[in-house]
Amino acid sequence: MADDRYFDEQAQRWEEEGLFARDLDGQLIRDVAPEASDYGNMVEVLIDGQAVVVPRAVPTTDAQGNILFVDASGKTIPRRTTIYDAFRLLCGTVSPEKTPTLPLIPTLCHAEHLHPVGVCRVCSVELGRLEDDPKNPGKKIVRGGGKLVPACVQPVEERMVVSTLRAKDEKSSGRVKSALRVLLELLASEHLPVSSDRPPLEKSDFARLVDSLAPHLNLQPQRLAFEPAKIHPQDNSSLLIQIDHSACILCDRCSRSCADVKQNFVIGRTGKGFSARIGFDLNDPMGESSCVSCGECMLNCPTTALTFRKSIVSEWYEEELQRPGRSAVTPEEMEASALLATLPFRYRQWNQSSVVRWKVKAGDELCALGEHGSTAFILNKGRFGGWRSDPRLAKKKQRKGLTGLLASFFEPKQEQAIFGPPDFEMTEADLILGEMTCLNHYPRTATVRALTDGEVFIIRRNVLFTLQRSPAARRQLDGVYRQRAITSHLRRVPFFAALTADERKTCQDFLQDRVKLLNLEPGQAIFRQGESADAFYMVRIGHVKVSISQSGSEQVLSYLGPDKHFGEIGLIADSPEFATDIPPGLSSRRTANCTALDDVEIVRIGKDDFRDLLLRVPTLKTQVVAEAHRTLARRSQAETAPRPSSPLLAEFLDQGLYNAQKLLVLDLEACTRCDECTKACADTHGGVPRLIRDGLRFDKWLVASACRSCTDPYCLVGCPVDAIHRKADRNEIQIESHCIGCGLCAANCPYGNINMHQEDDGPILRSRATMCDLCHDIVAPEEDVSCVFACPHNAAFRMSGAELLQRVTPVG
Amino acid sequence: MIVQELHKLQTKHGYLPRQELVALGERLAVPLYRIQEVVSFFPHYRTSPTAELEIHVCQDMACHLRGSAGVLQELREAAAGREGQLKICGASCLGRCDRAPAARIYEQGNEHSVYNLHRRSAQEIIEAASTLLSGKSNQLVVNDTDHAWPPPQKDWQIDIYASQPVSERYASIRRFIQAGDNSAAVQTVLGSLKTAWLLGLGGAGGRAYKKWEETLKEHQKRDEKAYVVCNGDESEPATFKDRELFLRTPHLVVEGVILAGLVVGASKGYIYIRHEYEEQIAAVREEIKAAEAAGTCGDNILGSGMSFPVEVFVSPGGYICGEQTALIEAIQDQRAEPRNRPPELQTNGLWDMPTLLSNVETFAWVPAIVVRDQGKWFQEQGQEWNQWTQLTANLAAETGDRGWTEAFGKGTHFKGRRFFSVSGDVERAGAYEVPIGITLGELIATCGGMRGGEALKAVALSGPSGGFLPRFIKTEHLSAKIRKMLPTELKAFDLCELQLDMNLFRQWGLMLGAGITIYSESADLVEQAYSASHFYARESCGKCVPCRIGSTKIAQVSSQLRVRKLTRKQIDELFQKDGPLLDLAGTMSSTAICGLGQIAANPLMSLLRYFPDEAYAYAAQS
Repeated sequence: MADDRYFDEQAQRWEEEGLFARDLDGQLIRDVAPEASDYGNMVEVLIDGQAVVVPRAVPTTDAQGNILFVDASGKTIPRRTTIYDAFRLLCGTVSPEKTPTLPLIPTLCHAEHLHPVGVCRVCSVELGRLEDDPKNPGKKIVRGGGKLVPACVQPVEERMVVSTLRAKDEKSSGRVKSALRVLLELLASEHLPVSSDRPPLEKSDFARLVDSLAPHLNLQPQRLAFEPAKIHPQDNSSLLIQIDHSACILCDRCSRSCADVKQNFVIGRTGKGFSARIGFDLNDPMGESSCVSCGECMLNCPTTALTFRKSIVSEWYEEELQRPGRSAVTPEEMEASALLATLPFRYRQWNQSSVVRWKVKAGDELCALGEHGSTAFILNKGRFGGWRSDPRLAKKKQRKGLTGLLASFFEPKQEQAIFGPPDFEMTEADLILGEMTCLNHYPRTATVRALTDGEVFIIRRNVLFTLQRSPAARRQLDGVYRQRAITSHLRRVPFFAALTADERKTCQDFLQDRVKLLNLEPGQAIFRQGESADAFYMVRIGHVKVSISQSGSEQVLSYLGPDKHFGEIGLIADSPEFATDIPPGLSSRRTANCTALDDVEIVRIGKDDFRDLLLRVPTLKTQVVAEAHRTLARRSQAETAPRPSSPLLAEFLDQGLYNAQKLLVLDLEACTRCDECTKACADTHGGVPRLIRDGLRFDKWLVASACRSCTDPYCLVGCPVDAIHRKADRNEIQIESHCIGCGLCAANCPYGNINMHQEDDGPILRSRATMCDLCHDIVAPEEDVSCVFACPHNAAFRMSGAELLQRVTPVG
Repeated sequence: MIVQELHKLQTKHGYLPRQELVALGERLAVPLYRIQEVVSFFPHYRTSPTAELEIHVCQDMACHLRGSAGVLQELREAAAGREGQLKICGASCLGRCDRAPAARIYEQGNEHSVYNLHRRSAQEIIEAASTLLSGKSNQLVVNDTDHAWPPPQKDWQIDIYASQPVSERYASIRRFIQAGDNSAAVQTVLGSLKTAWLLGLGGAGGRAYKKWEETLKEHQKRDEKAYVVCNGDESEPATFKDRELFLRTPHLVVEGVILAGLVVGASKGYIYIRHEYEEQIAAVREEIKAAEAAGTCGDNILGSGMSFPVEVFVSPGGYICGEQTALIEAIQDQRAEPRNRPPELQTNGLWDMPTLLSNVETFAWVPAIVVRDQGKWFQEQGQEWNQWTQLTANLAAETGDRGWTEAFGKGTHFKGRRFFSVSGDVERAGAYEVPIGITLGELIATCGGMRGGEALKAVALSGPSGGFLPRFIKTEHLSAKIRKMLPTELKAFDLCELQLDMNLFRQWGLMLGAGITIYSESADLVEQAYSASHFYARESCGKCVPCRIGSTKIAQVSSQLRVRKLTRKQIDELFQKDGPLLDLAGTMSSTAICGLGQIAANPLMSLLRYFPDEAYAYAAQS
């Protein structure tokens, strides 16, 4: 009565090695950490008969899709290319679901921004190996088959033959289909709610997968429901997230999100076997655990096990909707934008208030040069013009101080007449604008206005941040960002400032495709003393420490901020083309260490390209040669020049003071510890002070714990609801009322200047982030803030890090 | 450290108090969820105080056959209303299948707190419990220790030191060190293992010399660390030979592990033993101390400058820990969830380092192979091929089967000796050392024949993993290849004539493990399939979907069958071609991460295939 296949095959599999555990010579293949050389080591894999050539390894990325660099030499961390990677590459930007000629590998536990675990087995494919046919010399046969492997974890190897459920060979596709059908039926029978006594839940990614595959697999969700599904209790303890353990398929996406993406380390598996569930801490109710309610788990959950209780609504959203031309965008409507369509449906629902439709009229201003902002604009329709200089800004500068500020309030904002023709134009083909400020927290580099009527989606930083999770959206955004970042940087940096417009253009054209934009983590070395020089660098974002190693200890020489450049001297030192121009005594070896202090974005020009450039643009060559002479001269008199001592400078950098624009510092020689500053702060902020009159000392100064207004604030990165940002032309950082209290900003602030404040009356939240807002409600940017104003001893000051350093540096 | 620390805490408190877990998290600087993952995974850990006595009764195979379900029922009735005093638990195989039914009493708050009660009635168990509860320390409590239980075989050829003074032990280590030339000594050992054709005796049957060689090669390539791990988890129902090897010849196991460590250049050896083997753990620990005292283990072995410490790792429990990658995960303080393979352990093992992991018995044979005569004696130990094996050999030669040719060349006999744990309906159940190639019939005879002279009905040849096979297996149920080979007039093959060898079994598409359970005509195979299916559902780790849910689905069907909820028509529909059960079993087999999920359906599927009438006898009327 039964089919023999099962009995014939299963005995062979017990404890058997995988097909690709050994190479063709029978040697075990060690899963070694792949090397960078594997990026060029190409492997051809056949997927459903279609050949795809992939490198053995690809660079490891973080959850945001950023390639992780070891240091600024561009060295990356290779990871093995998997069958799933090869499949994605084969599909390109085309959706395999909608293209029947493509292979199809569905996924459930795998998400491309998380490391694969291979637990759901839904991506199972049949695997064979192309081998020489022992019976027919010269012919090839496919060995293997039968045993399925999860595509998400299996690395590619030479001669792999992969069959998906769309394979032409019906035996192979049948096997995959049968397995997929049973896997989904198993999951559906236990975890897809059918009975009416469960709350009606939205369609999840899992439910949609079952629906979409059901007709192709003859799938019957209740075929394996031999007994009623096991009902687990619900967990309603969290105010933000609702948990239905019965719907959980144990895909581990939440735990990976919690630990790997957010570094919160709260969720794990608890129990064993059929009764295993996800658990928080020591299997505590979510609301009583150390969960910070960041929502990351819920946004990654492919089922209805973790759902949100309430969408986020920000004040910004409500205000925005009041303005002319603005309207709401439903999660379904977001599908219309190719970018927004890549967001998980759950995310679109939860963060609906981070997207607003704006039907713009010709002349409407989208953003203004020099302003901060946390919005970007997806261009749906229309033409837009950009100005790299804004006449209003020049006027504002002339009338500094309070009067100037007041005057600027009365100034008509949209003064078309004073604007000339735009420096550049954009249309929907350019996809998006405003994304640079949104992502890197630097002020807008242009004023943009609509040239015709049109439509944009205003999106907030959190949306832009999450878009990068999707490789497709990331590719598009990344291309745009890199192109624009390099262009704007080349245009702006002082290195090219002395050139004529034509020369600058030569430089830009030459460099555009030759330079690399690198992102570095704090502490990553760019190069080390003694290494041979191989590139020239320009800092785009962040700060770089320059130091030398002397008898085993580090001597800090200086630090370089945005727009500064370095590393050029070593490049010309040993070049015959420059031999006659440069002074002797220059080395082609690095004379110092350069290390990223914070998150650094840097433009790198390779040695050969750099030399080539100098030969093409003689003015630049002259400039570099002159700089080389100056450097040498400076070195010889370095001992006598007044400058901060190395320990002081090291301390300055260690304390992150270089990044600060508005430090609250107290002159300890004048300060009597009367605490008037703290009291004034509390009075201004509803009784809860936002500064702590304590902190690290710098010389005779106390750097109090209050927001420093960093040039490149760490706190803004990754806020899941974009509740923390700089507004328009104000420099202070503010936290909005729709903060969900996840504490990410507080954890991100290296100086402990953001505090989680218990909210007793909050309807949803247990806590909310609070920080110094430079009293933005009551004082103008130029005025003294409360703490400084209140100091009776003239001991409290607000100043930038650079100013502070100047004060403590002995004068000549 | 999590596993060991939890073990200490539980010993101290009797359970794991919450505040202690929180403190442990802080002490080890690990997040609480990591501790919870481990605590909740292993059955050994408790997070609340338990009754004064916990009585565990084995529910698997031989114990189920000998009525452990009834014992459990009686105990539960006796314990009703005494929750604070007595907790009765059905347990997974306790590794005492030869003494079925097996039970243990755990006494709280007493360091030497385990009592074995083997082949005892519920009444005897209750009496022992009452004595313990009465607190009368002068009264002797029944305790069937493994030491006291008489072994069925007096002499084992594996123990080459049996009639020699203790000082003669570890001869292979002395010889290895005295050889001076390390690489020559390594080659001698590897050559001996190859000559002997020693296979992995944990079930997979890989060639030992190859595993050693591969680990060595990987280690030389990387020159970091390497490890040797001895898998003594032995939790497969019906399997208990390692229990005896640990107890009677711990010096052989330790010697094998040390030699392996020296050959592959490993930095440390672990002997992983299930926690229910208390006497064995003590014996091995003592033996490690003896070896250290003799200078053959630990630092600077015999003055050679080479060091190789060995330690016992007590398993926190669960059948899945016997899966080699899961075992490694457990040592690494993780949930014992099997890894996706490849890579294999020889390349990416413990702490991602090259690791040689083998079964207890595989290590224990090493002295007999290496010390005696470099493997020659061992390889001559096998039985001559009988007619069926000869036919199979011819077939393998025709098809150019590499595995077979490599193992036997032009030979006519099997190689080596091995142990089988035999339980169930035989006169003298126990662990037996036999020549490889002994037939099933001969093995039963070695065990004193069938219990009470009853007829043999069925046999489980790899614990429950291979399912239940009838004595006379219909030729239509054999693979096409084998069917063609056999004489056409043969309608059923007598399994008693099949020689017990892993190579042969692989050719036949059958599974051969180390634990064999024999069922006589009176055995109820529906009950057995039910108990085995529930064993797998209970022991599934839950990592992958096909096993986590699939094993429970199989157990559900076995329960429905057992309580007569399925009609004959329903049984047929479930088991028909392309029906739910075969689809499910096939998917579990093709997609589960490890062996457990791949074979969890076998007991039920084999029942329905080979013994449909037994299943129909349980059909619901109407």
